[in-house]
Amino acid sequence: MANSKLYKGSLTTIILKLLNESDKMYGYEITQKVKEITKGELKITEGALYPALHKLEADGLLEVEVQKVDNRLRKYYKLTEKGTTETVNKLNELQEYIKTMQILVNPNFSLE
Amino acid sequence: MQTLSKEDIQFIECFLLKLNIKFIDVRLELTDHLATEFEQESKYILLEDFLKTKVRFIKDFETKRQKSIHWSYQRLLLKQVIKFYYKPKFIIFNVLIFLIVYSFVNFSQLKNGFISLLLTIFIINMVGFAKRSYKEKDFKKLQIAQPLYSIMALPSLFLYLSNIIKTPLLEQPIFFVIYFYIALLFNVSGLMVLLKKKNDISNYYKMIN
Repeated sequence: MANSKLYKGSLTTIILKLLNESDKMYGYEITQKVKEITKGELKITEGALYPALHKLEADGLLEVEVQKVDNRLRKYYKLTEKGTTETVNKLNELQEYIKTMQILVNPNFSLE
Repeated sequence: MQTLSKEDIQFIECFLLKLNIKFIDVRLELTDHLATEFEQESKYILLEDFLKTKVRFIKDFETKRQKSIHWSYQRLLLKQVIKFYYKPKFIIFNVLIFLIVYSFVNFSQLKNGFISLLLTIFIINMVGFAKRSYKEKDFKKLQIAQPLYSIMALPSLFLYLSNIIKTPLLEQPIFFVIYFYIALLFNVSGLMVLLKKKNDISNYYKMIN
């Protein structure tokens, strides 16, 4: 598994990006989706996921919807308008970061 | 993949209650997460054995969520105060607050102004108290509603402080204007955030019931 410390700062962006691609998702679904996309390379723990989701919800970037599924209630998260704007900003920030890191790691690398 | 029965779900709920997870909004999300994880990937045959491995996560979940909600409400209060300086409809109100406070200095009515403004802040706090106490029984069951009580904590400080610093306030008009202008701004903002969050929480409560 990849070094989780390197991914820690990008957790919010990962969540926002996934929610931007789906209508709504629930907590466990997000962990599984990340595992599936990265072919098991990145595993988001529940202990890291929920505090991030709750912070995003509290900051008004996510809104919730509750539905009855299989004998229980399920809490779905979806992006608010503010959350959609923030996703674009966060993705741009992350791309800039990746570009800078690539230049640092490999000085001969150029995107032009 | 197996699907947990109604009894299994109740078992999870009881397990959470035994761990003193008293808020229904916390239990709702935890129950679904634990049930889904058990259904999809648990190596354990017995639900109880699986749940025992999750005690740490369950306890952290509640604590971290509480902190997250509390600070988000405090941030909302500060954001609301800042809105008074850049949102047109609030700028008008901002100027109005300043003019009201300033008028007491202009007409040399500091003593009357002190009482009137203190009374205004007191009334705002009382409205906040009454609003947050309404439907308190339902709100006690929700973790999301707990930090509602702390939104007015910072604004109400101005009320308590004013009596301590009464003499310099009455002797220094500039100090008087600055103090009551900021106090009113924070109290009005606090009440606005409280009412908005209370409304959001009421809607959420209806959704899960």
